[in-house]
Amino acid sequence: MKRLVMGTAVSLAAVALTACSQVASLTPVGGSSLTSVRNAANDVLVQQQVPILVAPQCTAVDTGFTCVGSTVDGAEILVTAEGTTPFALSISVGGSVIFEGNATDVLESAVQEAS
Amino acid sequence: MGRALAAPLRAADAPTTLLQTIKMSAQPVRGDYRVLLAGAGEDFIPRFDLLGRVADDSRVTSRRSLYYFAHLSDIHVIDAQTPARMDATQSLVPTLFTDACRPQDTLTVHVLASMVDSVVASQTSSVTGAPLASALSTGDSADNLSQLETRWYIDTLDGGEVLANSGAAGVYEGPQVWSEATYAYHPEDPSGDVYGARGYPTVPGMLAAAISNPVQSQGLPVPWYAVYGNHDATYMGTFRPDPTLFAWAVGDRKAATGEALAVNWLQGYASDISAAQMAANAIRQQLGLLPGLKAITPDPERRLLERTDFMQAHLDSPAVPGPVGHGWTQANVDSGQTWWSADLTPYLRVFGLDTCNLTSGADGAVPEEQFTWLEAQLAQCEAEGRMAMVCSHHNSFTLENDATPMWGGQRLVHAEEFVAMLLRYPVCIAWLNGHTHVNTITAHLRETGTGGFWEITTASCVDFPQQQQLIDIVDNRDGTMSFFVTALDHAAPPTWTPGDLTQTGLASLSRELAANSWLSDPPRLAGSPLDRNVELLLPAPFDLSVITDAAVEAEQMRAKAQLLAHGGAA
Repeated sequence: MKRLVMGTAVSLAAVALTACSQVASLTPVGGSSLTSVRNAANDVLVQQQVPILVAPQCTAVDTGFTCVGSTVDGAEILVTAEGTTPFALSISVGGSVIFEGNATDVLESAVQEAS
Repeated sequence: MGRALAAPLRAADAPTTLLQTIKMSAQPVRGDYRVLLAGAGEDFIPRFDLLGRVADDSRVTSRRSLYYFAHLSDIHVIDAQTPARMDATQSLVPTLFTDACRPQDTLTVHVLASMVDSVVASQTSSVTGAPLASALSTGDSADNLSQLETRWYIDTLDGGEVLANSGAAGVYEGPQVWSEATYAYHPEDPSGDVYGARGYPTVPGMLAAAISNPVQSQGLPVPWYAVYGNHDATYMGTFRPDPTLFAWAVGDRKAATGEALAVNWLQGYASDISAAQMAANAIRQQLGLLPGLKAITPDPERRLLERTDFMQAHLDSPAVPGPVGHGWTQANVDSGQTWWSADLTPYLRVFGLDTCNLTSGADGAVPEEQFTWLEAQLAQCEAEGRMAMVCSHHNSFTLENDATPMWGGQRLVHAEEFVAMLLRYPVCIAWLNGHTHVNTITAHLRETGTGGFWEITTASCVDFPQQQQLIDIVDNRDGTMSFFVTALDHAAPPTWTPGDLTQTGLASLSRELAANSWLSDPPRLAGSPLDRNVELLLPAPFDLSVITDAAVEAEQMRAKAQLLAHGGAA
């Protein structure tokens, strides 16, 4: 039965892709990983009351994502997120690290009541 | 009426997230399942990204509202029982189509009516007291190219009674009652499905209440406009519709399992299936050799929409709240042109684009014809001293689909080029969109270091947090302007009371089920505080004093009259 299901899964995927002329465009809705990193970084910055002038803008790099912004005092906000979900997140302001942890934990904590 | 129109505008204590937010419980109540609770409100956070400096505090006492409106998106009204719905893909590739079968699928009309209640309750701006003037909906209004879903969504926004059922009267026929559909949530008894394993509750009577009791909607009190989303333009928001799909949608068989879906249904869709294979499948079906294929009550109202039918459905709409067509006109239907423009006021024009890719894929692009048209329109706005906002379904994270041919094989413009074009026109102050179901606000800064436009993306009505937005455009009378964006929860209580199967109770339950739906990654969808209640500053695109107070007041008087006609207390 398991083999049947696996075989059917492959056949489903193949059939679905055959039905469309552009396989590459059949990826899920884009931007989700970048959004996770960006949102988690913003959560931390707001929680720590960093005076933001330009919110970090994120770009994909070989190791994950890098996001750069600035404070109203002109200090650089630098966010690095390594790997994949849950992303090892490091946030520094003006060269001082203000947070190290994983992005998923930050996001989950942000939507929950304070424990 | 005259006295009401003359009454001074006042800020309202609208039940928005400024006063109360909705949080998940710190601890699960069963398995991984959490309930929702009321949390503290969130104040506005000013964002200076486009100013390049901190704004002057004196703006607080000098500002005036130019236009106050609601931004809706990704409503996703769902006919959960249609055989055209590929629920069973969740059993095979759950992460590819995370939206194929949600626990809250039968409750989308209830949520939309509850969101309408919230918009009605927010008809004066919490910031300036300005009256609500319109609502802009940026696509994915229906879920699956369905005539019935489209009608339900339009009727709910227009106001009236909607029975969110198809097929047999009062009988739910779908995966949420089929035991073999273990990928679906079975509210009567979830013990055998993947949701029960995570602690989802037993809710006797949920499905019957959802499909048997008509949903009452008071309707939006203001004119509303819509654009195409990928779920309004393509099948499952992804595929080009095919004649086989049109037949399946009104047929009497629905796949309960992935095997049945793959063997019988999708092969019927594939272009390379042989006639012999199709005949074999038909015989197997007749002999009952495809047990995953269930007999259901057919319903011709479930038909899938042809390309221009979606626009025509909006023209089959009353004059109030209007406008008839909700952005589209008969000329759009006749010509097939799916994009439009409208003057919200004499000093603010909005452009509704169609960024959907009809070939394949959920993400989008701007066809060159629209790109060229929009640039010419923005140039005209620049010459006329008129501000402009752009509405599309796709956002700058997802405007990268290059599947061709689309729109006759014309060139597709992607995010980088599109943003660069908008930045050439200072009168373009905002780009409103949706698609990702995530509250996201992005500053697009001009290379000079100041100026640009704000991209404002709202969450959806279907996935957690089931939020939309209120937006007040404000002239600070100091050479700057602000967009005050407020995240708006629908009006149903944060905490669902077990056993509450009223219309409002079902909307509340929907939010709770969505909050626990791990496939949609709920924590990410809420966005950050910089994406919810914010004041978005930018340099004024021109001397806004040319827009006289008298002109603004005349527009607000018109908006107040609309609200009063709807029965509001503006």
